[in-house]
Amino acid sequence: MSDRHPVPTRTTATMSDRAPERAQRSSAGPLRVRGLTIALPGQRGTADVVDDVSFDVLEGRTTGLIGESGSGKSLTAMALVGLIPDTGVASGQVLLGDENLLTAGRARMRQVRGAEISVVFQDPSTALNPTMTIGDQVGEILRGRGLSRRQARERAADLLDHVGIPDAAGRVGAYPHEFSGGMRQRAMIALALAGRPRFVLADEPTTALDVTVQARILDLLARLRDEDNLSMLLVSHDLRVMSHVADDLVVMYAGRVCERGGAKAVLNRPLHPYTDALVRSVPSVRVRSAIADPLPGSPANPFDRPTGCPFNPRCPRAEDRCRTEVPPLREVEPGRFSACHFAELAERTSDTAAEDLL
Amino acid sequence: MTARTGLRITDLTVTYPGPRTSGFGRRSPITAVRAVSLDVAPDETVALVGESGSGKSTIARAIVGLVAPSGGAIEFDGTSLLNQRDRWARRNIAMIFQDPRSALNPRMSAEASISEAWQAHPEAAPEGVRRDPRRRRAAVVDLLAQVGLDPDVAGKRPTALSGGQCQRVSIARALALRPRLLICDEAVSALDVSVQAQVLALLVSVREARSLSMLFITHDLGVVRQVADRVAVMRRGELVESADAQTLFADPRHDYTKELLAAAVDLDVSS
Repeated sequence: MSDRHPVPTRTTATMSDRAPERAQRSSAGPLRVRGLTIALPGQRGTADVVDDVSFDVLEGRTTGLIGESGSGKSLTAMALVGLIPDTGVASGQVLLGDENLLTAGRARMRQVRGAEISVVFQDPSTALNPTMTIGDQVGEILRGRGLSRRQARERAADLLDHVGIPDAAGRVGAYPHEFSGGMRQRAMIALALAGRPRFVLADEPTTALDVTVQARILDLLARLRDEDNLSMLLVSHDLRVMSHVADDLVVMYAGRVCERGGAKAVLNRPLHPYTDALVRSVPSVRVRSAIADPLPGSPANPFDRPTGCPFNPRCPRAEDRCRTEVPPLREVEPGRFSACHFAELAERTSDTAAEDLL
Repeated sequence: MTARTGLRITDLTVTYPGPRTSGFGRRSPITAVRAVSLDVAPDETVALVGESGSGKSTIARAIVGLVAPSGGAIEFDGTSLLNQRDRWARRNIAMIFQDPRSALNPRMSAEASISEAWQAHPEAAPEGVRRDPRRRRAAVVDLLAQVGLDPDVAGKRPTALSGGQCQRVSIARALALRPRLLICDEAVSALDVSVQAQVLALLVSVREARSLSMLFITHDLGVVRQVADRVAVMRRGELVESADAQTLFADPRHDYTKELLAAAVDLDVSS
């Protein structure tokens, strides 16, 4: 935290007095998801809508969790903070240090949320309380951590300033409706930072925003990662957004991870046909090719997952094996994981597909 | 028979009553669209872009008669569209909305949704569909095939369909009366990326096959790049720039267009 993000010393003392678990905060480490499986009841019985998902959210890096509807990306993310539906059953591990958050219990999860992992939701106008001033909402978290009213207000102003709200000191008394959409999302981010969490989970943080505002919020997230060494899990369906802020990518399809690796590497040379198709269908401002060769069909429904590889009905290179045998997620190259039987041929696939386009 | 001149909007102004300044105060009107002139030729796709509140959807609503303009003229193939009860206009102009699920009646099958238009406009209905259920089914299946859907979709309700399928049903319904102008208001914004590409490809092929005029409203410049012949940029109710798509993307003139293009988040694969 730089001088723009000061923490009064008394605060720190008070916080550690009241919350002994914060002593562990200095012991850094990734947030590790291991074999996360979430069963949800559906119309035709229970299904594992998230199935054996593993990845790490590394420190000071932004991990992008990408997928389309039914991919299980949001459910996966919400499981990290204990916010899955009551009817859901989660198994596997979400490890914060040595602690498995899946078995942590409600009281502990309430501590975890905000203090260890905080959440930025898609729509700030529904996530913020319309009857409280922005300053009071940020301050509420700080007051809960032992700051006096005046200190909380000062620190709230600091936080709002930190996320780029102009005249922050003058606007702590403003209500959410007095803010524009972009300013509300900045306030939401300030709120997420108020508990000084190690991890921020951002669920489609720019989807509801205008184009020009979207770019600025993405810049802000990148700046916070660099200045505050913030570790972030960014959930989005938008590959364009991901390509700007994500360091690592986890691509999900029908509740499973189909590809994982460094973001640039994954986007430049996908090792799974689904990722490849996603990259091709991105409507780019520069080239007019996104609609030349669209992928057929709709994203698979995890309640009715095709046998074998869930992507096989839409896959241009599916063979008999893909219809019967579930491809495991395996390390194809150092740091590059793919759940495709033919991952080694991926490069050749994209070349031939590119020729087809011409 | 009217001449095919396409859509012609001249000096369109739309004002809404604004909020009251006090309990008994007068409403100060808000001008949502100010003196906008815009043409869409037959066989042309014009994209109307802008951020929220720029007035782009208000223009669409004025064209289909959902809001009454306070000034200006809207003509299609030489016929004024300002007479809101005009059946001719309703038949010839179709609109596709952002959220396909809320645009379709959840209690009606795809067949019922599509054929409802034929009940309202018998003059545009294929022969016999109003009396003969088998002919109706055949006409619906034909339309569904044109939007890439299987015949069994005809009997399904929106809840049994995916978002992309619902949007295809919306498009089939829009095409049922053989319109000459198709207005797409954020028609692909709510769809998954892989499905979005399919629906865009479908809209482009439908427009070509039927020589439609298409007004494509979106905030997504990447989508605009894929479909538009011409682009009109709106800002705060005013049209700030309008140009051939190629030209606008390569050489934007207005500062706001430049700002929009600079801010457009594109796929960045540079290492």
